[in-house]
Amino acid sequence: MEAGEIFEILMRENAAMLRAFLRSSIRDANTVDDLFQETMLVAWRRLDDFDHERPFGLWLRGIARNLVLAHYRQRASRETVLDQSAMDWLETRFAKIQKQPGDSFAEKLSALRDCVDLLPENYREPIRMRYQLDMSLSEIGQSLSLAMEALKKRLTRAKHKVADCLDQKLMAMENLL
Amino acid sequence: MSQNDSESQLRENMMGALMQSAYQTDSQREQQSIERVLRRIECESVDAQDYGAQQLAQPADDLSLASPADPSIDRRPRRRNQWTSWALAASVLVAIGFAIQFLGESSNAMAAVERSLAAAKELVARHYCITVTTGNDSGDTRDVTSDLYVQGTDQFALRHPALIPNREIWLGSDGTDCWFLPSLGPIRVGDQTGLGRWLAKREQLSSPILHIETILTRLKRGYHLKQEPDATLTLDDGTTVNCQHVIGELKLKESTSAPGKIELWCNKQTGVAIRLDGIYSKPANAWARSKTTIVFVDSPELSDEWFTPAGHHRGFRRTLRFDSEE
Repeated sequence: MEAGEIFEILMRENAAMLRAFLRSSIRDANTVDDLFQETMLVAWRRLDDFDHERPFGLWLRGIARNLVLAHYRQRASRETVLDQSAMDWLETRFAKIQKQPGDSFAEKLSALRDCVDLLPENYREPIRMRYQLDMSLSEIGQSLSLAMEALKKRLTRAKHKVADCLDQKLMAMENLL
Repeated sequence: MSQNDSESQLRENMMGALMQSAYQTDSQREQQSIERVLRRIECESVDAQDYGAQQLAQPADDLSLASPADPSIDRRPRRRNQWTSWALAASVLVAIGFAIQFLGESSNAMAAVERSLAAAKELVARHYCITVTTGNDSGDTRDVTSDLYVQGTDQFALRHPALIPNREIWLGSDGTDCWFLPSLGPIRVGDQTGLGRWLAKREQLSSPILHIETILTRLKRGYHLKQEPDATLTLDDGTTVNCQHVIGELKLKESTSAPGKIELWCNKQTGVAIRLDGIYSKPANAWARSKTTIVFVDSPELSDEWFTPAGHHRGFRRTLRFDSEE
């Protein structure tokens, strides 16, 4: 098997995780696509530098992290929300998720799906419509008879509830290991 | 935005991103992203072998999602150069050792070649440095250097730079099986035909085995041999060697992948080939092999495993046949 094929396998195994990492730090979908491509190309060009003792996903996130920070530095926006400590925070959580059982990144997120299932119905439904059924905000608002602002607030609260639940589950898993 | 607000926003963003992954609503976009990366890698890999960058359609800094590489541009012939070059290089020494004895008009030249052939058949390990020069119509050239180790007539090991910088590949024969050791991944083994077919299939070029056969066939059909004045060559370690010098001109002038001219310098005392130059006819198209130079380095002490894959890697590597579907 050639290096290109090996790299393709590693890329496919880690693509979902890397995209989630980038989407966590970048709002614009096109920019996520660009940074994903750039991360993978940097990894390919520097494959010789990769320490085989470490997880490939960790190395990719390190590259992505630098690209994200560079992206925000270039924009020099007053609304920049991410800095080094924010990326550290993100990395800590992704590293914990990476240790969860499961072959694919989606499988490793079974704890997150459990947390969604545990939400009260008025929070669970908009989350499922948005992320499972891929409905737009206006479609969800119409379906649930909610005004846009109310819907956004409900989704925000739902995500924070899921985040709290996930943090607890990940901590519990760590204590078990 | 305060620190707490930033963290809160980040937390929310992360949950949204994870939910997209958990319910796989991003999978189509993910697949498209992967395909774009693979196309770029393919472009860059060919570019690394490319000795004519003007043929590339995709600008090196183009990250545009809307402009994938033009699929109508066939980049395969340029990648072919790498494999063809070392495959031919590896075969030239063996081919010349086998075939030139059948040809020639100069008895002195023939005698020199036959002595060199006899020396080549000895079960003595020898190390050669092979340089393949590729050039284009503009006079630009590029050299690719590899190392060839031979012992007798059927054992060889060739080290060649890999596509990834600072990595290498090995291929060879222990006299029974042929093998290919990539920089990563499983070892491939089989017979010479299997090796040729496997490489040809992967690199989309004609089998190097055919190149060896082509060279042998061409050589058998006719090289005019001419004795030149003796020459003194200097090895890398400073040793000087008095050499007989023979030039072979290909009799058949039709289009051929074999060198149009071969120059041989062999040790006057031992007959060992010290240097071989294969000069190729200038092609009609840009970027093609123009010269292959094989220079004797030394007669090293090699491990028993040198002509097997085990001599060139550590740790466990799976071994697969060339015709394995894995």
